[in-house]
Amino acid sequence: MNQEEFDRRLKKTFNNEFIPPKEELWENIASRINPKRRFPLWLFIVPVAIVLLASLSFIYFSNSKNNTTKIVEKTEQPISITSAEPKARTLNSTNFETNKTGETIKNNINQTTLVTKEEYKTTTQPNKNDIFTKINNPLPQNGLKNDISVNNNSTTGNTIHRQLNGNIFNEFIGLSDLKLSFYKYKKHPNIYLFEKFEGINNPMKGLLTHKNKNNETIDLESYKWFLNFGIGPQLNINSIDMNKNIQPYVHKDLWSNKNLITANGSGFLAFANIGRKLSKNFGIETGFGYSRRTEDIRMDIQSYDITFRNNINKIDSYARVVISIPIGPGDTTYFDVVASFNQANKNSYNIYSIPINFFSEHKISNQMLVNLSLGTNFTYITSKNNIHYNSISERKISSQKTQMFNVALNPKISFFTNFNDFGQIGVFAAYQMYLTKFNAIEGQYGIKMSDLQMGITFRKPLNF
Amino acid sequence: MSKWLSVLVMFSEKQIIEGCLKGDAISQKALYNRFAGKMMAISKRYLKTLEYAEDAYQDAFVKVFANLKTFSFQSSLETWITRIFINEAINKLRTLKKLSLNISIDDYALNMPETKSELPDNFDYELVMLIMEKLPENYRVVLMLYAIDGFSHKEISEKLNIPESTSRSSLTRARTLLNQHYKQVIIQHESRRI
Repeated sequence: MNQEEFDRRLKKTFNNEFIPPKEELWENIASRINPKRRFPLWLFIVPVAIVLLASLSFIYFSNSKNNTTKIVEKTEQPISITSAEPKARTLNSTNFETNKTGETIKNNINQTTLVTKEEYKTTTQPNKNDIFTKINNPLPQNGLKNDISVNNNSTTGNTIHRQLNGNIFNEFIGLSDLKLSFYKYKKHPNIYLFEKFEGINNPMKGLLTHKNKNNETIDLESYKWFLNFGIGPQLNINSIDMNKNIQPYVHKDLWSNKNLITANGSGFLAFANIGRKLSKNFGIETGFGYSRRTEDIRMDIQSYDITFRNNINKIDSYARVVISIPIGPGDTTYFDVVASFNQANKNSYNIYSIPINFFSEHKISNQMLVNLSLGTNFTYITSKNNIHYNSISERKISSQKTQMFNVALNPKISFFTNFNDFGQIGVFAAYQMYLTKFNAIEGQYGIKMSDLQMGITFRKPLNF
Repeated sequence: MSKWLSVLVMFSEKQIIEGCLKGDAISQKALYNRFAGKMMAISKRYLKTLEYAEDAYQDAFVKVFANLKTFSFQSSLETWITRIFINEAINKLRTLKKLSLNISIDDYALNMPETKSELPDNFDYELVMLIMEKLPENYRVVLMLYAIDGFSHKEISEKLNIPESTSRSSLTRARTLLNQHYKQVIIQHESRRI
């Protein structure tokens, strides 16, 4: 045999050399050519931190007040004091009644009462500085201690607007013959700021600053009704629930990789609820929600095992199939027949829901409260042109329109902090689990759906 | 009972390459599945040990995907990929220090009785593999590169960093050894039958 013939026969021997590699070799190769990008943690932490930081900063800076005593003097007219019979004063159509006892006056917030003390009469014109000195002195804790009668004959008036800190009622020096009194507010330890003394109907509601001296959270809990809005992203978790009765009809490699027939996705949610507190810590809310969820399917399964089916489509056996094509004298080309199951598409679903949530909330610090809720969402799911894989006929099936009603359980945790006196702002995290699976291919498999939700939420109390 | 066959219409090589260059996982798997078995056999043929063969196999496939953009369709995709695998296998052999430049023919006994038996038309794959594994490393590699994988002596000398003359002499010796061993096995087989 010559050398060329030897080489030709040797080459022919190795034409069909084939050793099936181990499965994990491809996994190693795939991980090296497509390194997985780790989802950066900062994408979750940074937005939440920004929201919380902005809220806390807003609260802090809006609360920082100038607590020093400030006197604004508009004129230089001297203040003269004369003895005068106590009489009713009229100021801006508000009647002030005198109280001769001079005792500690309960604050009548509908009509302010000034006190005169008959015995405190003097013809001496006090030094203006003395007045200010008395005003600047440490104020009494209880009762009426310092009365100053002033009389100002000036037609232009002499208005002193003084802002005091602590639990002290703002003093007001009016135009004539008004007496200054210092009162301590025990019931309403909030600071009033006003230049004109007017009767105010129930000043507590609606005009409160959200912090008192002790930096306590404002009593937004006193409201019964509130609106609750929220928006945020969600991770859609989809898992397949295959009908075990169809296993004899499904290719064994497709069956062992059936979890690839569906896949997780991402979406977003938004809700607008109205709620009512049933007690200090418990309540109920309902409203309307919309969310969008997706199913991002990537499936590629190859198999050299070709199915042989009977007349009812049941798989009888598997075999390797090779097609050999002679291409010349003594030379043949071989083709392996490969069964392939491929799918790459993204299904989208619109979900409209009506929630009924029961919640319990508690203060966890001066600035923050936690809200735990458990709800049931009555949902309507609709989808256009979603594509799923028929595991028996081994082809993709497109559905023009899909719709179903479903019920989902929705436990949620929220953290709220006060947003000035407008409402509360916070973040939430929730898990939503649909009780009924989505029937992708009738009789073959359904998709069990659940969502991991998070986002920002805002609560506005309603004054009724 | 009627039976039906499930047959896949495969993508063309061009479609697969385009998909792989876009990073499409399905195309990458399709490319891998098409050549996986053959390339595994090539790696094993050169490296003999399965563990070494798998290492070189994975490295070679990573190189295939990394350099796929340089493939210009001047040869078939299989030829291009085969060359990458062979290069990777030889690099692995070099790393394992299994390739030595000089080997004397006297190191290997050739005391085989001559026989008039002719070699069969087709070599037996298993038998040839068995005999080739016992050949000296350089002879075996040169024989495979020239006779099976179609490299020229010039290319072999560049790959193995040996003179062309060494490549030629190694090939001759490898053929002789393989031929004689194969004949001896046939003789032994025939004598058993008798």
